[in-house]
Amino acid sequence: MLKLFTVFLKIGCIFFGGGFVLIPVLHKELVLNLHWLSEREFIDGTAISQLTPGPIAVLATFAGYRIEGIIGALIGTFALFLPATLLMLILSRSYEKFRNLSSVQKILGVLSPVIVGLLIAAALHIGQAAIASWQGTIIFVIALIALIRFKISPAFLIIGSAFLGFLFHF
Amino acid sequence: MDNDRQKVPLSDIAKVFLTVGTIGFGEGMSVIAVIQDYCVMRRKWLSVDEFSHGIALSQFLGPFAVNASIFVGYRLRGLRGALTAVSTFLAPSVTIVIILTALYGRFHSVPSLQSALKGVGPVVVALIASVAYRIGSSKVRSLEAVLLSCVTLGLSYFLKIQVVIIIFIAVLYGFLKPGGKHIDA
Repeated sequence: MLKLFTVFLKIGCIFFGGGFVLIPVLHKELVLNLHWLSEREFIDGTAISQLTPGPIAVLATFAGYRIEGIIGALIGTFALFLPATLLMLILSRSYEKFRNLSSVQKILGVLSPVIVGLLIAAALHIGQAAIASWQGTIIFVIALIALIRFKISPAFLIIGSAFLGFLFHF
Repeated sequence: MDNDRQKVPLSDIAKVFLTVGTIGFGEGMSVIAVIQDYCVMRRKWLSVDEFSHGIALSQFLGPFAVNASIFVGYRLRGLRGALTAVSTFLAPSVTIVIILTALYGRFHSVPSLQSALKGVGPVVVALIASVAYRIGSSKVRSLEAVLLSCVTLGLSYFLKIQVVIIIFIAVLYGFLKPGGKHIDA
């Protein structure tokens, strides 16, 4: 159990960038080095993690469960997120202090336009795969109008579209 | 935590992040768009710029949507807010994975929810686009801002440069650019 904690803690410390970086790292450690999971289990675990909302890092929940049951799942997830959470707490804390410095204000002023660029890039990137049929295009247009013009809740749209997808298999 | 800011109840933070954690499909920017929609656009807990700073700070370690939830929670209610936000954000995914893994242990196959996920895809894209539109219409109003957005789009979409590197370049640019509203204290 302690081993489980330290392994995931170690992985949590070298976990840079988005979650997909994590897949090869977990694979090397859990399948190749420690033999805690078989190749097949790892692939299925990745698929299960992708079925859920939230980050792909919940792959740690799957792995923990396969090794030690529910306690293992919770310990694995906790250990994996611990280093990033601590770092983020420290950063949030120092943000309170330095955000009002004028030299920092100048740097921070460029960020919002950059985030807009990143969002458009993400929409284009995901859109290529996600809007592949005419049904998909119609759902996209309706959702866009509903969000911008009528400010309808995303939760409602996401659940509704999941149902449509489930019923019509497009 | 600013003193002039109204205290947001921890239960409100929990409610919002449970919702975000339940519907935030996908990775990174799509979840960021959901958090932005709920916390910035609807509830005005943070300003657009503050949230952008939070996204930049979230790049260092781990999944940045999780880090952004910690940032929002901390800004609202300090340490307790941060821990409330991150645990409620992760709870739905962790619960679903535990259930699916238990079923997997029994049946040795992954349930087929692919068609439901296919329906969600276009809505996720619309959500990201709507958030980009709304930040853009308030924050991208100068020639410099338009250029920044376009260059970022090019670097990210066409050259496939990682988000963390783009943010680093942006901070460097902000640091080196002359003038602006820079006044030495």
